Amino acid sequence: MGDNLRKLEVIAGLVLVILILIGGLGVLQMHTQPVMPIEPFESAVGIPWRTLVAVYVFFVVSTTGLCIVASLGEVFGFTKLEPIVKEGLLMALVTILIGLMTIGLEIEQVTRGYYAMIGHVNAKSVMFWMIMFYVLYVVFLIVEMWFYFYDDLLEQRKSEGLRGLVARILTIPKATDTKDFARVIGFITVFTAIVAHSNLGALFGVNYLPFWHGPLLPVYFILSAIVSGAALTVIGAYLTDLIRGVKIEGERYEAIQMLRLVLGFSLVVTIFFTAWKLVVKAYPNSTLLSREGVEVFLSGNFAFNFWVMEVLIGLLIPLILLAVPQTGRKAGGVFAASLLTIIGIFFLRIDLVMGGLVPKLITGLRFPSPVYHPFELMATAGFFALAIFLYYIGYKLLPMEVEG
Amino acid sequence: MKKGKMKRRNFLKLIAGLIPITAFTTLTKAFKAGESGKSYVMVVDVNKCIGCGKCVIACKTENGVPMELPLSRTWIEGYSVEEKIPISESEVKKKVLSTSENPFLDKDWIEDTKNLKTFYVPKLCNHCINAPCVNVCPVYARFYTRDGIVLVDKETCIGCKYCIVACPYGATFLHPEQGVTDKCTFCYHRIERGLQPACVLACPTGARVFGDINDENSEVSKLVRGNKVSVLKPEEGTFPRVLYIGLDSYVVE
Repeated sequence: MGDNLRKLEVIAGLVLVILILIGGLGVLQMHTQPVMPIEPFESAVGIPWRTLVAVYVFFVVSTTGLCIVASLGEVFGFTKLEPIVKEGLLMALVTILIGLMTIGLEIEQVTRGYYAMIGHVNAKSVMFWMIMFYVLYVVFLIVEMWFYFYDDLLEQRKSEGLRGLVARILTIPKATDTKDFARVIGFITVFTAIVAHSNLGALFGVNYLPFWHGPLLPVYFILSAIVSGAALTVIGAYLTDLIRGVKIEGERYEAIQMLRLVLGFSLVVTIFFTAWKLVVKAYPNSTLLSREGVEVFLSGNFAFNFWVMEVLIGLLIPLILLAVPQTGRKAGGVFAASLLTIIGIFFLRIDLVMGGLVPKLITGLRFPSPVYHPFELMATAGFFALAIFLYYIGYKLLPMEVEG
Repeated sequence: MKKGKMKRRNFLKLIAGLIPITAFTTLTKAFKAGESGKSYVMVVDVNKCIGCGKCVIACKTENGVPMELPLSRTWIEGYSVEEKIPISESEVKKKVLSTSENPFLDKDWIEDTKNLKTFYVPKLCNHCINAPCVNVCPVYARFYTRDGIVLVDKETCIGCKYCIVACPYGATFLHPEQGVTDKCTFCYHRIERGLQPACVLACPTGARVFGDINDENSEVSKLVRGNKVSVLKPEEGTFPRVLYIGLDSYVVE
């Protein structure tokens, strides 16, 4: 059994490395060959924000959600969730790093990315505030994690090899009362995460595009972050235990049942939010632009993505799986529901970014379908592989399994 | 524990320090617009446009936009309308001329639009007084000149494409060779020296007129006084500097 697992680990590692290389090639291609000319977009050609922006939004939504869910256990006294805090924090760190990397490589002038923080600052731009808060968030998150892991790192100093070395380096600065301090920093971190994330919602919401425009979009972003966070925490915890060959029981099972509740509740709210958003925007008294903007999802080029991927796979089936006791009470059932939710959320991001841009077209030109450029798909595969790879390395090097 | 406290305090200081600095730079930059006493506008007479596309070619040649790609700083939209009541049921067909190839000379277009109401609307950056692209640019690569024109600083643009998303007129695009966003500048390099924008010079029917609206004797002032003018998407509150004469209600954007 042990040997087989070891073999599987090596094969999975190789696959990840290959995918990361493919992703690197995709990014390189994106920046050496023009990707733009795809569909007429008024005078401009192509949809300006495509798959990679959606992937960025997906990752930063995930990090916010993971941070919120981990904070429920760590900061806000949901003791049942404590067993999954470490995984949640590590996944939050990985997803924000990959998210920032995605957007950093998506912009056309990669080397000028730092302009947005130093020297050329436009305080009126929501994007500027989003960048500032996400950078602050990364710093806070790292500090929080350091305090949270400190006691276990002290234990790990005795280990041999790389694990011991990492622990010895990380424990060079001395600290006491680390768990209390982690809680304080954790509060600041989750606050920053939510502020940063609602800024991302506002980044879309301030534009006068019917599918985005409105003050509720930032709130909706936070809501969908909780959905993503709960689902990803379940996926992370379940897969980790599956690969370790540990049966999920005891307090980890209780934690997953708690997440079932969080996920189920936030899915219900999301369903109401989605339904009313569509009804309001498609109602005959709304502006023509607004009705055309929603039609894209109801019966237009994004209808499959919306009805099948978002609503059926992302919202309804997971909710049923969670609600029915035969599946919901099993860790595997919650895992399946979470996986479907995340697939739905991924398409939700693509629809939000690309579908929201569709009504910018002038009446008379055809509405474009979702645009999946091969280079961008390569890059996307690479980013996801890198996320899993980083999580794996983090899991191996940090004291994840020591009882906290 | 001490170390952590120091860190946290520093971060808070960083945020607190940034707010007044950024607010100050924003305000000082915003007030520069209109300093020169000039206020440039372009008046486009839709009735005079024949859809020949000379302005598109002149602009692309003058400003180095790839001729064969369907992106351009200025473009012409050709409309054909089969009117019905209610007005929203009218069949509106639209084609865009943004390369040297003229789709309005295409046989299909001529066949399809026979006996219908047809007209052409030249479009370009509206140089809004409240420009969405200037508002959203995270690095201040978009700014107002002293005479109110909106320009792109190509040395600063990071290519995030937020301006393309924010522009209600679709007037800005990613320059495929430069990797930064590009748009009409009213040929700022020419008007600085007292010359006319390239598209204005190229127009055979004089459908485009450019000038200083603050100068009472300028041609644009006379046109604005003597005609009913309108702007695109007035509901956006962007206050465009491109004014249209004879704009049809079917031109929704």
